[in-house]
Amino acid sequence: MALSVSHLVGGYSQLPVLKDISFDVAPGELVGLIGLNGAGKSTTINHIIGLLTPMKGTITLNGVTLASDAQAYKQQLAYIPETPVLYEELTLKEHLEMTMLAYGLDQTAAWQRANQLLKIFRLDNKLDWFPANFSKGMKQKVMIVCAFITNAKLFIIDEPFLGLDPLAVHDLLQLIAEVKQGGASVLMSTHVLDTAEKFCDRFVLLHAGEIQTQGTFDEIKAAYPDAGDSLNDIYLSLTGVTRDE
Amino acid sequence: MNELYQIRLSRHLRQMLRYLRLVFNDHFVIALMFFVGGLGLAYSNWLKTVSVQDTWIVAIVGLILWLGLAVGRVATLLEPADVVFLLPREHDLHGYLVHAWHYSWWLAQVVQVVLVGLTVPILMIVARLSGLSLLVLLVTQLALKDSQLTGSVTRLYRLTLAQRRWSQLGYWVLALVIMMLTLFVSPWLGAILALVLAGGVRWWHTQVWPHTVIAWRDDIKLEANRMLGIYRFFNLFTDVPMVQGTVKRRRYLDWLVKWAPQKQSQAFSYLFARGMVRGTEFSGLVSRLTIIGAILLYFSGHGWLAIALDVIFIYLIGFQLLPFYKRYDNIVFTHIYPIDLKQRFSNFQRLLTVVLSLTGVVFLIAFWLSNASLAQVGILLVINVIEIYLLVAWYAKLRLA
Repeated sequence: MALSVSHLVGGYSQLPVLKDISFDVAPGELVGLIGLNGAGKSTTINHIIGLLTPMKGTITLNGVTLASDAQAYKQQLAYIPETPVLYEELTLKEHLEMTMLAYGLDQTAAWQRANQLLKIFRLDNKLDWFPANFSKGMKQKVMIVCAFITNAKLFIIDEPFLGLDPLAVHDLLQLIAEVKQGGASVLMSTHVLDTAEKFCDRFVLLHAGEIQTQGTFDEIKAAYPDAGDSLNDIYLSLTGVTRDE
Repeated sequence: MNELYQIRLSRHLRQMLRYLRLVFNDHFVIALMFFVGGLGLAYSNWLKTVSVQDTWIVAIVGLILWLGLAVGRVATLLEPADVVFLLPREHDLHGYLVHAWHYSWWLAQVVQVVLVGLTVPILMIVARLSGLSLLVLLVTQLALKDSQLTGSVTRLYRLTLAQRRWSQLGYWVLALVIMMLTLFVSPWLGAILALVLAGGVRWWHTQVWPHTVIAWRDDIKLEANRMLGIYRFFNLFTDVPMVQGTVKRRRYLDWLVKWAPQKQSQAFSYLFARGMVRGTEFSGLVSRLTIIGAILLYFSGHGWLAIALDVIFIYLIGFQLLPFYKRYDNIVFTHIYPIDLKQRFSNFQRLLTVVLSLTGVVFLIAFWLSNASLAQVGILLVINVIEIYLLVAWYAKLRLA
């Protein structure tokens, strides 16, 4: 397994938000992390990228944990945040260079890749601009380009579809497919369920800090035969069940 | 709407009062009294040297009065959220703006009275204006300011580009002509023209506003700029949270940021160097203190005082730069990049060394220019090197790592 989260208990303060979560992401797999607002998606992601330290349980990435070798762990990881965050003082070009430096990428090869991505996302004529002044969608594209020039083994993408134009969504899905082919894993949290249903290989449904169910779409459908035909229906009925409780 | 402006105004005034209390603390008031007293003395001494022949001075006074008309803007106190919340009441906003207009009018006219008052002694000596003429001049100035404000209020509405441009250009040309007529031909003529202008602009305002809409975006930007100007002023004396450092591209300084070698272990040097040069907050701090320090050093001889000043200023700069290390902590990538914390800190130490060394060199040059012997410069150099080493290797580590 590329990413393996086992018995993770964690949160921001003493009070755990996540209660004993375990799931895996295999190489070449796109896993969708689904849940309501406050279900614990972002907390899970923050634990994986190392902003939070687990209270219990372990997170391993190709055999490495943050505690055992932080640098090797982080080297394998690329992250696209839900709200774009940028260095105010860096131009677009410098954001890319910064990423290349930070990940120790070969500049020539990385620039080749970067130019290709910039062209796809129509940012190639804005290299000397400060992305901090871009629109939200364009900032998000900068985040995507920065993440995909790395040769990470695990891409973590937090709600990528809101704010992107349909063309960019299409291109992003294509990019994800590409890195999957290259053997990388992708963990993506989203609320856009019909897109997720079409493109994710497996799903982890979080609710109130616990994993409600996980598996491929067919497995989930088989487990909840009365819940409906689409991920949307299943998801709604599952959260409906807990609403009554 | 009427109430809204009153509420905002009282909130605004409370806030201004709070800052003013901070600005005019005891020390500052004493310093200001000396300063104003000194200026007044210099002014009165200068007045003794001018005579009736110096007519160019009258022209200068005219220019000053003309430029002074720009002082005092319309305080609309509009906020960004107003676009959403006040949009449905757009027509009623005229009442709100009239309140803003009145408040700004009084504030601006007080400034104009003071301005005219300051020029009275010169005009009495040089232009030999009588008391009555001076009073007429005051009326002219107030009428001109009134038309300027009316124009500003009208431009809060959406006008055609031509209207906008010509109303502004026309006003400033006319104001200059009227001002010069007042001073060189007849104050009475100027006053009549100014009053006609003021009436004309007011008529224009009543004609224009009912048929157009408010230029929300521009107005809000204008108000934000006005407030930023005020906050900037306060920020000279005290910390104002609303003034955050801005970022300037500063392409001409690109050669400065190239010193960091491009490799993984220096990734944060790459970021720190650019942040330092382009962010106005810390670069402003360093350059201000460096310039002040260099000037003081130049005038403080070659003894202990100079050494103490040098040491204190380098310490002050180094000490105030330490928070820069944490500047990027709220950006998630700072923590996600596969770079060791130690590496990040050593990159910061490198930046600190470079900045402080540059300051040290400037200080050494200032010291040397004040005719210090090479031996004295050498001693100061050794002191600087030791101090910078201690600051970077020991003190910064103690505080940050």
